[in-house]
Amino acid sequence: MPRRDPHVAVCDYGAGNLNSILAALKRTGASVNLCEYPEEMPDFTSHIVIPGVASFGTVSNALQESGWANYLATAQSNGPAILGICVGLQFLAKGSDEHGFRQGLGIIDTRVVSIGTPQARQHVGWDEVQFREDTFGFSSQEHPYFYFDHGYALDARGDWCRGTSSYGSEFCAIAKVGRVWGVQFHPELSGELGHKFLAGFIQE
Amino acid sequence: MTVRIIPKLLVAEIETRSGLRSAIVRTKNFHERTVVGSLDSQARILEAAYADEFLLVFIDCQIQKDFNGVLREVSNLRDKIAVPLTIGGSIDSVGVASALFRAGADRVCIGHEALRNPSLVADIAARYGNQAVLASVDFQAGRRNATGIPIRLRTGVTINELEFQSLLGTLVGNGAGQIHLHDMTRDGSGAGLDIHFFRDLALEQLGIPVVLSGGCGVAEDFVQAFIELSVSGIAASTYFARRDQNPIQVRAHASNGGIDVRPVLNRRQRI
Repeated sequence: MPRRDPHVAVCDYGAGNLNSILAALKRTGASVNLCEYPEEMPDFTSHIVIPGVASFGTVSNALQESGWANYLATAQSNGPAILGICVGLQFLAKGSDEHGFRQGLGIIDTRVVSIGTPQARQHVGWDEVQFREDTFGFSSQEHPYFYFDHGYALDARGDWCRGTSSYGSEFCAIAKVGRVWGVQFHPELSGELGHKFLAGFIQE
Repeated sequence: MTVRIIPKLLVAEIETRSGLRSAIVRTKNFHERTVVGSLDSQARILEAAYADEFLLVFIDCQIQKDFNGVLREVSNLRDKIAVPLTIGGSIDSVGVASALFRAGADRVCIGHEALRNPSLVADIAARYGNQAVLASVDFQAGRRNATGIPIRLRTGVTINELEFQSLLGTLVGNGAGQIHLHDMTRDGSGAGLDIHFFRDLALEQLGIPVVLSGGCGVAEDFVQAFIELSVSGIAASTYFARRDQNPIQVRAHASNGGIDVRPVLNRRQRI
């Protein structure tokens, strides 16, 4: 069967910076649609994005209710590639302490914890990412800058962690388990390099 | 961690022969206005010049008067630029914030509505996370007298520094992920940020990033404030509205001053 152009389904969980991610994905040449339920994904969907900009509780509630959580937790290795952004990455972990403990998908075997120090709890702005291996055209030798905006993160200890950044201490900036990716930064807000990352992902 | 250089884009309604139209303006003392250009062109020029993010404020209550028009403008802009957008200007409910996030905002800026309705910041933070809320306070500081420095807020109330600090603490407690302080006295003056006033507020004790604005006239004003106040970002509108100033120049000055800034890409890194 001839390979189709990439089509990205973006999970619409009732929050998130939706147009920012839709616009950025369209700039990579992909076709996109918003899906409140997994059943709304077209058959030819090649990629799924879980956008950021929401509290963990919002994402957890909405994705459980809509059936997305169940779909994502049982995603097949030959199914669409998945990318979680910011809280979308965090939801892949076992759970988070943001506004009280809530359960995540458990695809990544760790918990989400607050970062920084009591004097500096929010990591906001452009920061360096250290890739642990060559990814989407970025080499492990370079340290590109991406835009971050978060107060919680995953630790960087597991072998699922493919890139790191730090704020007070080191945390996971890029995670990968099979065909499931997650980034703590916002590629859709990170200018040319963010575009390069997303363009790499949709070729995955 | 790098600091942020943040052009503030003030979207106003201006009268033209063919009726009301939207344009970017700069202001002086918060009121006198000069038209700078269109939102699209200003934003694209500043993005190419390495603006770290934008603070976009609808200053004529357009969010209340013509919300669909605002959403169209935000959505059109978002299709063209790939840097973070904080949007403000009379956002008074979670519903309004939600529609802005869908249209292209990455964070909302809540101004004196946060003082009138204390649960607004908390409600938006509960749904979108603390990082999605920038609480913004416009103020005018007077001369020190026996009871301290009188600080007049846009709500018309005048308080002293201790009360001001406690107000900021309350906004943080309600769930603001960042604080923006805008000095209306120095707005558009080019006199530099009021370093002494801000230093006495001990902003580092708030525990979250602080963005200051009001008064930047030369690149050195940014550098001095970054060094002396260790703030996370500085926003400016008038400064970037002048054709001979841009974020790349500020970045170069800051970098020469030993401040960590997002580096400009070299040819090999560009796509």
